[in-house]
Amino acid sequence: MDDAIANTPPGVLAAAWLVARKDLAIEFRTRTAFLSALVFALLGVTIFYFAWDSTAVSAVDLAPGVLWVIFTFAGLLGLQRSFGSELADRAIDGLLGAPVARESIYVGKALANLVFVVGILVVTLPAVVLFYNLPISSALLALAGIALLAAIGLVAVGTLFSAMAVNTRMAELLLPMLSLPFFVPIVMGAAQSSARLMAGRPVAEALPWLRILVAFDIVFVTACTLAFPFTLDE
Amino acid sequence: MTPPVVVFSDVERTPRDPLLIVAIIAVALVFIRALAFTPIEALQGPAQKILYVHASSAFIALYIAFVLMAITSILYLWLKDEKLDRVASSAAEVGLVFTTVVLLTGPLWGKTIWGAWWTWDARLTSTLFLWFIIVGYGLLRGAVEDRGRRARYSAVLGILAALLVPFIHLSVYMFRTLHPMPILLKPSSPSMPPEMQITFFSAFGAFLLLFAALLRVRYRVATLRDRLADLEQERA
Amino acid sequence: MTPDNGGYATAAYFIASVVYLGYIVSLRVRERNLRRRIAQLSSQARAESHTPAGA
Repeated sequence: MDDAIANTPPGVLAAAWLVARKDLAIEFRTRTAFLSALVFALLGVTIFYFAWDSTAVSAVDLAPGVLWVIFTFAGLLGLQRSFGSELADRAIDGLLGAPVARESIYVGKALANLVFVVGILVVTLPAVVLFYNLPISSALLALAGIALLAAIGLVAVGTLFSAMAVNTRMAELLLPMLSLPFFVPIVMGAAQSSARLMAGRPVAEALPWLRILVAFDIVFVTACTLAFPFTLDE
Repeated sequence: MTPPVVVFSDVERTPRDPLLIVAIIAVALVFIRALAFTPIEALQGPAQKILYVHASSAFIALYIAFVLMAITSILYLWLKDEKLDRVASSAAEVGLVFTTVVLLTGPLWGKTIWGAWWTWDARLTSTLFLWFIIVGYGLLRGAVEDRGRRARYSAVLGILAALLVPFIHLSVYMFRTLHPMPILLKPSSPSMPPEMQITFFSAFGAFLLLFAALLRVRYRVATLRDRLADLEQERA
Repeated sequence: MTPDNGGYATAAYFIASVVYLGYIVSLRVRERNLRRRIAQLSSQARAESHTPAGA
C-alpha cells in the first residue's frame, strides 16, 4: 500500500515543477548563462543611451523602447540554453523515459525560463530607471506587472521554438528568426502600455494594449503546451 | 548475349501542363485589360490600376495560401499523411511568391497616395510579417533533415503562425489608428464603376487560377524530391 | 487634374510579371532536374540488377 503511494507518478504540475527545479539547479550551479545575459542587458541599456541625441529626445520617451528591445534580446539569450543542456548525450531520453506527461516537460522548461527572464528583468528594470532618470512613481508596480505578462508570452513561444531549433544545424540563428515575429505583439503591447503609464497618462489608455498582452499569453501558453508533444520524436 | 533493351523512362518527361498555360494566358489578358482597357481613376491617376494586381495577390496570399497552409498543418498532425505536408510546403512557397508581389507593388502604389514609400500601414505591415513568417517556415524546413520531423515541426509552426496573424493585424491596426499617418489622396472608394469591377474580379479569378496551377506544379516538385531522396537512400 | 503617375503602374505590373514568370521558370527547371536525376538513378539501378555479379 505504501509502495503504491510512493510509486504513483506525479501530476502534471508537480512534474513540471520537478523539471523546472532540475533546470534551475543546473543553471544555478554554473550561473554563466544568467550572468552573461545580465551583463548583456545592462551593457545594452547603457549603449543605447549614447545612440541618440539626448537634447532632441527626452529619456522618458526613449526608455520604454530601450527596455523592451533589451528585454527581447536578453530573453532570447536565456532561451538559447534552455534545451541545450539536454542535447549532450541525449539526456532528454532520460526525461522522456520517466512516467510524466509530455506537457509537463514543456511547462517545467518554460517555468525555468520564466525564472531566468524575470531574474534579468529584476536587475534591468531598476537599471533603466536609474540610467534614464525616470521618475519613480506608482507606475513601477504596474510596470512590473506588464513585464511579467510580457515575460510569460516570450517564454511560452521561445521555449517551444528552442525545443525545435536545438535539433537543427543552425539553432542560434533559427531561434531568433522564428521567435521574433511572435514577439512583435508582446513588445508592442508592453511598450505602448508602459510608455503611457510612465508618462503619467490614465490607465484607460494603456488598457487596450494590456488586453492584447493577456490575450496573447492565454492563447499561446495553451497552444504551445498542446503543440509541444508533437516536437518530440516518439 | 543481347544487351538489355533500354526503356525510355517515363519519369524523365515533364508532363504538359494545360492548367498552367491557361492561367498564364488569363493573367496576361487581365494585365492588358487593366492597363489599356480600364478607365483611369480621376483622383489617383493611372497608378490606381496597381490595385488589380496588388489586392488580388494579397487576398490569395493571406486567405488562400496561408489558410491552406494552416489547415493542412493541422490535418497533418492529426492524420500524419505525407501528402498533407507536401501541400502545406507548396502552399507556403507559392504564397511567399504572391506575398512578395504584394510587398513590391504596395509601396509603388503607396508612393502615389501617401507620398511615401512606406508608412507602416496596418495591412502592408501585416503582410510584411506574413512574409517573414513564411521565410522562417522555409528556413526551418531547410534546417531539418529527417522527413517526419521536418513535417511535424513545420506543421507546429504553421499552426502557431496562423494564430499569430490576427494578433499582428490587431496590434498594428491599433498602433496605426493612434498614430494617424498623412494621406494625400483617399484610396478608391468601395463603389467602383462596372468596367473597373469587371477588371477587378477578372484579376482575382486569373490569379486564383495561377495559384492553383503553381500549387500543382510545386506539389509535383515536392513529390519528385521525396522520391529522389528515397532512391538516393536506397543506394547509400 | 489627374496626376501623371502612369510610370508607377507600368513599373508595378512589370515587377509582378518578372516575379511570377521567374518563379514559373524556376519551378520548371527544378522539376526537369529532379526528373533527370531520378531517371538516371532508376536506370542505374536497373542496369545493376540486370548484370549478374561477376559476369
